[in-house]
Parts: sequence; C-alpha cells; structure tokens
Amino acid sequence: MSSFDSRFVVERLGQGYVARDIALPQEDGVPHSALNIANRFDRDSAFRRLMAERLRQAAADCDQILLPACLGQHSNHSDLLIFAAEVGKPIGEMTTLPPSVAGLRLNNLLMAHLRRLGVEFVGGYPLAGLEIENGVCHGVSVAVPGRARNISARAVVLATGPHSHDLLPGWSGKADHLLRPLDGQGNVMLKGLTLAGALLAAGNGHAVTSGHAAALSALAQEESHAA
Amino acid sequence: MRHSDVTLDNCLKCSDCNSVCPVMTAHPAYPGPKHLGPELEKFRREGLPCDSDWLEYCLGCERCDVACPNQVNVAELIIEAKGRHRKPFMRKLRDLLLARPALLGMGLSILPQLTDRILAMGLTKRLMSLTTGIAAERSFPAYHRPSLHRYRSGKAGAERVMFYLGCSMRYNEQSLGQACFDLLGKSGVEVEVSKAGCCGYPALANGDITEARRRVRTNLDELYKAVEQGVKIVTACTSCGQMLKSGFTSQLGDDPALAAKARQVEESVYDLGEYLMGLAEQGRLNTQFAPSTHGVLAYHSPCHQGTQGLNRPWYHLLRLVPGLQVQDLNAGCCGMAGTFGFKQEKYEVSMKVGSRLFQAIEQASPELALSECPTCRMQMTHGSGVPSRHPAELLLEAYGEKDHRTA
Repeated sequence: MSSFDSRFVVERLGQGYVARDIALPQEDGVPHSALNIANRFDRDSAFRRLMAERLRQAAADCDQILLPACLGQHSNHSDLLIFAAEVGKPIGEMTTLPPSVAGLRLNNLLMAHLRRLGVEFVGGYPLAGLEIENGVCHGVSVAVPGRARNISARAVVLATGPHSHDLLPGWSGKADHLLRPLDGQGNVMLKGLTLAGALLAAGNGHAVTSGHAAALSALAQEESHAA
Repeated sequence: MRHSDVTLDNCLKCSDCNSVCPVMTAHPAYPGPKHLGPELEKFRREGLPCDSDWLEYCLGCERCDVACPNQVNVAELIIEAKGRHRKPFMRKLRDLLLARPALLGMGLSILPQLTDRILAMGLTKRLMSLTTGIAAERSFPAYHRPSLHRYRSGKAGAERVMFYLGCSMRYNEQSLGQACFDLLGKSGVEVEVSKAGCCGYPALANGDITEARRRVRTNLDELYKAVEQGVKIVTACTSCGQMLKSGFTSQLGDDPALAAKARQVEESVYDLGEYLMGLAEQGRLNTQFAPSTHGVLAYHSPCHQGTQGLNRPWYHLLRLVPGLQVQDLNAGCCGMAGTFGFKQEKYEVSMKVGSRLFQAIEQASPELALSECPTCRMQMTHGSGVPSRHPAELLLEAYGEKDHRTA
C-alpha cells in the first residue's frame, strides 16, 4: 500500500512488534491507498469479510493488530467492534499521510451526530463579517452563493485563522483570560465573541485546546448573561 | 478575472476534495478532483495536452469546492476543462441533446402520451442504448404539454415572487409546480411564472459551455426585469437554484457591462424552502398545519443544497407539521447528477455512488422518500423501489389539501 511501510513502523516501535503483509485484491488494477481501501470497506461487505479473514490468518500468533488507518470513512464504533470480533483480535489504527482516514471518520461521525441533534453546518465559504450592534456580536455573515447569509447567534467563537485582522479592526492581537478580543488599551472589544485557534497563536495543538477553552468560555458567558 | 484564476495556486494538495468525492468512493481508478482540477489545470494553462476521458466522470456535485479548506474552485476548473474535452462523435451527439433538456422537452411533449408509451418500450430502450448510449436500465419521466408558463396568481398577495420553473417542472412535473404555487399562496404570496428557459446547468455538466453561456445570457435579461422591480426569484429545484445564484457571474463575469446585472440577479434568487424558512423566521409563514397521517418519511438533501450554503430548509419546514416523522438520511450523493446517470457507460458508477443512500432508505423503511431535486428523486426510487416526492407536496398536504397528483 502506498504511504505505509509496515517494516519501517516496526523498526521504530522496537521489540514486541512484527511486520506482516496481507494481500487484498485490487480493483481495476489500481494500487491500494488508505482512502480507496476505506471507501471499499464502507461499500463492500464481501471485501470487509475477506479483509477480516486475511488479517485473522496473518496475525494468528499475535495479541493485537496495528493497521494503517483505512477501516472506512463512515464506520462507527459498533462497525469496528464487529470487524475486530471477526478478526478475533483487538485492532488499532495508525495515521498515514494525508488524508488521514481516522481523522475523516472522526469528523464524519461527529458531524452526523450533531446533524441528528439539529446542528447545521455552512462549510466552504468565507466569513464576510461579524454582525455587531452596540458592542455585542450578534452573529456572522457568510459569503454563500447569491447573497451573504446572516446567521444570528447568542455566542460566536471566531476561529478563522491567522489572517483575520480585517474582521476585527482595532484588535491588538491579544485576548483576555476568557479569550475575548482586547483593543490597544487592553479593553474587551466585543461581548458575545470568543477567539480560538491559529488566530491566537500558531500550531494545531493550540488550535484544538483553545477551541475547547473558547467553547467553555462562550458557554460560561452565555450562562452568566442569562442569569 | 475569474475566481478560479485567483485561487488555483491556493491548492495545498491536502486531498480533502478527494475524500468527499462521490465518484472516488465508487470508482477506484477515477483520479479525483485534485488531479483533474488544480493539478492538471497548471499544465493546461501552459498549453500542454492533458485531456482525459475521466473529466466526463465528474458529477458536478461541487462537494470538492465546499470541502476545500483554501477555497480553490475545484469544480469550476473541471467544468472549464470539460468544455475543452474531445469526445467520440456519438457521445458528443448524445451529450449535445442531454445538454438541452428544454429542446428535448419541447420535442417530446408535442404528443406526450405517445412519447411516453414509446419511451417505455423495452425495444426503444435497447435501441437507445445501442445507438445513443442512453442507459437501457433507466426510465424517462412522463412528459406533458407545458401548461404552467403563463401562470399568475388570481388574487394579489402581501408579496409577489417570480417563480422560475426549470425544465423538469415545465415538461414533466406540472402538478408539483401547481403545488408550489398553492403552497406560496397559503402564506399570502402572489406568484408569477418567469418566462426564463433552461438555467444552463445541464449544458455545463455536459461540457457544452457555449450553450450554457447562451442560456444564462438569455435568462439574465428576462430575470433582470423582475429584479428591477424588486421582485424575488424563487425556484424549487436545487440545481437550477445553484446555477441561478452563481452561474451568471461565473459565465458572464468577464464582461463588465453584464457583471453588475448578473450580481443583482444572483442576489435575488431564493430556493423555495429557503424562502419559506425566511417567512417562518419573520413569523409570516402560515403554520395552520393539520396533524400528519403519514408514516415515516425519509429525507435526502441534494448536493446542490449544501453548495448554496442552505441548511436543510425543507427538513426543518416539515418538522413544523405536528406528528410528521421525517428522518434525515444524511447518506451522501445519490449518484444521478442530472443527466450523468442516464449515460450507459456511467450507469454502473452512478448506482455504486448511490448505494449508501439506497441502504439508508432501506434501513429507514419509509412510506416515502423526499428530496427537492427531480433527478435525485428519480434515482432514489430507481435504486430503492420506494416512491419519492418533493417536500413541497407534503407541506401543502399538511394544510389539509388533497394529493395534487390525483386532483
């Protein structure tokens, strides 16, 4: 499979690991990639059974199996448990070069879950501006086809990346302990707005943790406002 | 300068576009939007020969555009390349016809009953498959003589809208058209039908950019008349809506004299569900719905709803009806993609793409499948056997109206 070398991985993991290959039939002679195996895993139950059988045979003397992440873009926890039961061993996945199937799956499952709860996503279009009135951010305007769409909100978490200063004229680049934007004098510029991600500082790790912190801060501000 | 000229170099090769491409899930040899779009475009712009038959396999769903974290217009790049793609003569002839659903509709609706009978015959289907490459497995929708094009509400309403029919409603689904007018009437909205013809999207999807530009150029003048009077343009088809909201500037935007007009028209276009949700948010939607007597309904949101940045308006509207159980299928693209699924050599891929949706319908075991897009509905019924309808018809019935198709 392109983008994954089991021997290289075993060399790095050290003792207790062995590299094994399994042969899976190619479709139309196309070399395997994590994404095309994942798509086939989602679509073709016979392929899933064959893969489970080949893994079961290859890892008969092992305690656990580590695979390149390829077990479906849409498979949920119970699908993966069923697959592991067919293989007869616990299975873990290791991320590969982008696109990471494990990441795509997490994203797809989270979005599907939130959609079931009534959350809507408007993706793929830039933020045209913030809806501001009397120092309070009431929502955002998104540049969708046709005309910009206004989405009103009680709390907005702005995570538009490092080049977002045009959205916040007068912002000092700093935030207070609740991640609210501060102006040059150190005053909170807007109520109802919390910052997160690379807009605050570079790095993906910070983006994830600040996203979590911003969500908690927005919730706390919302609750205190309601009280 | 087109938007795609600006964004081409933004491609980071992250493959997010490939991960959402419906064709990649079904056809492993398909090189994907990243390759057919930004990668090959750089060679195409150098004048290097890199035409590919794979361009014809792009569904035009535009999911790649929405997925791109860097706003590269992947689909637009592929559509432009499709326009320069060379096809064998017979495929070119077939696609020339499929690019003109209004012309087909006009011809086939002269003697509609006879046409429907002939098109439904097994021999006709086999002959069409052998000669024109239309999939023998498919059935054409029933044709009717146009009857809605002069429609205008009898009584004045609180607001007037210009209703854009689209080819399907003009030649095939006239009872749906009437249901949409009546639905708007329930909230006091006066309807006039636009004289504008085919939106041009089928032409773009079939690589006929000249015809697409001709269509948008003609429609621009017609629709601008309404916009000048401050009238909103409403359509019930998501693909027509997508084209009317973005096709004028993408096809005519290079002409500064037309660009301003194009933008004004695009700003005035509303999907019917979007328009009704707007009324609901302003407290102007008539919500005197009777409790539902329907069983579970399965809803599929078309790709061109998401690409308009809309949030399942019909799903939320139907949930206003007491007792109506609507399940959102959320199972990706149906695979029909307008005329794509009608092509013999693409039929198998079309069905494979739709397999996730068919499974989801089977699991929901609904009384009806619902979707705004006419060809999504065709595919849902073809792949699952479950009858399908536009949500507007169900919403109208919730006011206590009879089923329009039997009225």
